[in-house]
Amino acid sequence: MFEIDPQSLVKMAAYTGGGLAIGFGAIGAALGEGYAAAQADMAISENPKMAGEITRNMLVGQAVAESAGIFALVVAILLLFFNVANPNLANAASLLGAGLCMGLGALGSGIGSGMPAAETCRAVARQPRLSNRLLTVMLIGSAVCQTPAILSMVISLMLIFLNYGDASAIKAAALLGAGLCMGFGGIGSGAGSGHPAGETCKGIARQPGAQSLLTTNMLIGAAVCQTPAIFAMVVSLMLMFVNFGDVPLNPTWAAFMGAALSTGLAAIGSGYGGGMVAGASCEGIARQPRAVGNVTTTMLVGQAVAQTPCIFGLLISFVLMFKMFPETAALSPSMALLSAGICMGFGAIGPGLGNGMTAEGAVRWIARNEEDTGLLMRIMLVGQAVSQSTAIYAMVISLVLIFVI
Amino acid sequence: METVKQLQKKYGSMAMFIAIVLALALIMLGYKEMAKGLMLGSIFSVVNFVLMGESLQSRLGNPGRSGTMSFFSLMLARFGLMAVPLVVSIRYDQYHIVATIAGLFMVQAVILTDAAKRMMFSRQL
Amino acid sequence: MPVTGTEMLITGADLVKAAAFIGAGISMGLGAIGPGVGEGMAAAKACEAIGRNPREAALLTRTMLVGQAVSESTGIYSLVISLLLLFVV
Repeated sequence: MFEIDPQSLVKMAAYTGGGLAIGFGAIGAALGEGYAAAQADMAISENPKMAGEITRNMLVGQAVAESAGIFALVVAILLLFFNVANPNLANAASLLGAGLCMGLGALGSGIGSGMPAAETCRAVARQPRLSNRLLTVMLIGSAVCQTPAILSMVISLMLIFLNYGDASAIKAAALLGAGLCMGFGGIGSGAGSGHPAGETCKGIARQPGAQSLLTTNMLIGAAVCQTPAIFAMVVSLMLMFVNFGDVPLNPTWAAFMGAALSTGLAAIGSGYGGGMVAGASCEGIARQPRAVGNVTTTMLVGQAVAQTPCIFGLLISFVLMFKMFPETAALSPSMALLSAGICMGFGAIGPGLGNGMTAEGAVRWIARNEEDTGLLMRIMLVGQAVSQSTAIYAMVISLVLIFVI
Repeated sequence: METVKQLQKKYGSMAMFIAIVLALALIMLGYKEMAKGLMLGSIFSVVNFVLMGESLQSRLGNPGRSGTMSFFSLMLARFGLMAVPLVVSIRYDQYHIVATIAGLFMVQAVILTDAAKRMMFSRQL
Repeated sequence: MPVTGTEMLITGADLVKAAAFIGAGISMGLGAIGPGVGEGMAAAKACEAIGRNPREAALLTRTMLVGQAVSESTGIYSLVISLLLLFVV
């Protein structure tokens, strides 16, 4: 039906991928740095005497926040100048996937690592003598926010440089899917882990004695909110390396794309939601350091529930990857599988965010009113269960699309 | 704004010092391309850090719309500048590409190592 | 090796079915975002209110559930439309 010379196809994919990588990457870096610079302005107008100190902290924060953008730049330049030995459809798909993966992955981390820099500037204006300690904590927080960008870079470099020895159209779909999945999966976790890092910097200015409690809690919270990015990485690696054997092209390409979208999109909501919970718990500990036990426990429960929609997404991805679908010449069976992935992916974003918000409210008020921990935890779980229901509807529709149609 | 200048001097010179030591070690071991790539990347990393400080100081003194626009256009210009060593090392074989990429993150590596060192020795965390 | 499109037999009825399936997925997928976030907000505010005033917990929980049920309705509309697209069209 169409014929394109493979060399041009690969070049086209590489240029598009490079543009997407640096485009999204620069948007993330600009949003993060712009937010931090705006907060630094406010901080300087609050306390003009500390302008030098605030600018110093901002500069260091910005240098670290920008590394996600530099990752994207490196991948983009590699894509623009990369020469493929014997070009085919799978190479084209892997280069486009690599660009998407790096660009979207850097978007979240760029936004996230602007938050600790912003809060540090505000905090230095209020508590000038803590400047050095705040700087250290900010750098740790911002480095943690870079993790999803680093995972995305690893996947995109693998997509560019590894030779998969299989040039079929199915492999092409799997490689493009691997890039998409890790790219979308990094957004939520990257932007979400900015919340605990920022709230920790703010909290140290309020309660300098709680610094070690806050830093520990920040690291736990940020680590848990990065689980969705790791789920996405697992699906990406499976799409890249599992040998699916002799499967028919026609519905299987759609199943792979669906699997990628399902986990990738679902990770956005769960990752950001988990970050909101962790942020609220850091804020709460700064307010009431004695409540740390209850606050951390509730945070972990809340984050675990907020992760459920992402686990539904992972489940649908596994079904789509490993179920054998009979060969068909028609369009509708493959569209049903693609649609199952889209449905579960988008359907999990809302409940993931909603569960995160609920747990955020509960954690914040457990810190203020510790006697009612049990009551608040119960209400939180009821609220989360109701908000989860829409993810379950989406999962039902996905399963119907996979098994009944 | 003396402190910003001091900070730039401190991290910039530390990054260059480490880059030169590593490059000398690589030359001793016989990896000349890697040493050249590392130096190229590190130089641009430091230049970017200095320009970042300059753009930040002009932005923070001038919070209006024109300040924001020049901040973002300077940011894009800095990204363009950092593309130069990458393109050079891809085009000319005498610069090793991986070493160039590593060199581009030299300032960030120095900043983070400094923070990690402070966290470990201050006993406050 | 030139890259060619796969051989597919696409008839009118098949195209309509394919569009209906994609529509069902998008309807349920996007339709779940609003109620998910909205119910989360309602529950967050209920937690806040109970934290301020734990004695009214029963009343607040009831109110939260009523609010969530109303906000759920748009999710159910999406579900109904998806099922219609899957089985009736």
